[in-house]
Amino acid sequence: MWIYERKLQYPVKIKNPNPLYAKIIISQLGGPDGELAASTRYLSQRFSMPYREVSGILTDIGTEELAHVEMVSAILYQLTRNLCEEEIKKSGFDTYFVDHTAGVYPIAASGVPFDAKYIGVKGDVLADLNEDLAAEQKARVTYDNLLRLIDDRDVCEPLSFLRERELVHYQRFGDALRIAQDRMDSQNFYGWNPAFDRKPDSRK
Amino acid sequence: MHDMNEQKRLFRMIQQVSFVLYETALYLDTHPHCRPALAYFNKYNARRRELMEKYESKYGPLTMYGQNCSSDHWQWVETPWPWEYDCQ
Amino acid sequence: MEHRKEYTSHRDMLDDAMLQRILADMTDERDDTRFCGCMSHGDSRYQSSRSERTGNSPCDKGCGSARQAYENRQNRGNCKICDERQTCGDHHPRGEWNPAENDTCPDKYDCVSGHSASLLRGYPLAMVYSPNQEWEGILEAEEALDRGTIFTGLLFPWYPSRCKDNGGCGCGRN
Repeated sequence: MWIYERKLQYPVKIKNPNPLYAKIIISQLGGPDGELAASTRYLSQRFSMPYREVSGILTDIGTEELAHVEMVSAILYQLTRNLCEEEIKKSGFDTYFVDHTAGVYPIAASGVPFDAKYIGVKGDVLADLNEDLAAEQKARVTYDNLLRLIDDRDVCEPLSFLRERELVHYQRFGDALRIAQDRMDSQNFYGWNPAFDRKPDSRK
Repeated sequence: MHDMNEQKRLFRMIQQVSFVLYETALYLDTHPHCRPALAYFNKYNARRRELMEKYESKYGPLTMYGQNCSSDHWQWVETPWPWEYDCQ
Repeated sequence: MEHRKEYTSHRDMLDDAMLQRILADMTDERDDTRFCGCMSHGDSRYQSSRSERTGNSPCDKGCGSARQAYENRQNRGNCKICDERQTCGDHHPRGEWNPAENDTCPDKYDCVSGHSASLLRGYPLAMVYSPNQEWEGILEAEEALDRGTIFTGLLFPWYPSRCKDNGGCGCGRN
């Protein structure tokens, strides 16, 4: 189970609300490559992993991604404080506001709500770890794109932190893949699925 | 005012130490026999415990289990939540 | 030309210094622990069947992983298969030769006979391989949180170019 710590992993203190920024940053909450997708993906995949180190890294990175959900949500909350109707209309935030006011709802910048279709849980060690590697890269690219478009240092600093975390997670999943490779049969990595099959008879 | 600076300072140190611990834990998940990493984790874990004790005794709980049970009210709902602008 | 967001902060100055330090630390020489790719040395539990398959001597750290890749690297003068000398002038990748790249770099190029001196030669196909990360280049706690990692080896800052840096959208993209 989870224990909640009453702190953000990295501080978020945004002096100037800005619904324009909120409109795009929201993709890192409810979008296809966002933190909610990441945490759901890893915390789901961990159950079928046959190697404890791999389940461990999935649990711990999945938990960290929940902390990132919280950070992105905090950014959105602070960007949408004290808005007046003029700002809401001018920024185009009105299409979100009408359904959610200044609440934090898991949705992408495109307006598509969060969907379990964004995640893969194939129940196969190699497929799942490769999915995770790709997911971290896609999340990193999303942060790159946000950093292109945003000019406020109070916003860019937590986003840069989150971007760096994606790169570190990428290396960690690479490590996990290496562990799996070391445990599997390098004569044929694809002969059987250790997440499901029992080890085939050595006669075969 | 001085006390608020002390609170902010302690809180920031807890954030820093907790972060390096988490990074090290992720590394140890995939390198469970790395002795320097284990030593580093143990050192900072002890440091984190000290800082948490110091902070929670003066400024309130950082986890649900950090409540001071001798107090006559439930502190958990009395201090700012971490996403609030006025929180550290 | 690179365009960087200008922060007037300690963090901004650290970016440049950090980058220089990382570049200075990068060398061509690697110790055999990295090439083995195994996560734990001296631990006989982590035996790989790769060494049996390629028939090469196991890593002297006792992990059992093949040292073929490391040996290729150390004996980089000649192609291991045909003993042909590898130089940039004799061969080039995919028909392109850049005379400015005037070093002998057998790891990038094939030998004249077309045999690849890739670092991963001997590794099973249809698989990706990740380099093992060592416990090194550890930052102090205060700097680590600002940077987003304790590992200098994992620092890859983002330097977006902006048409704004070129004086507003005209569009002055670099």
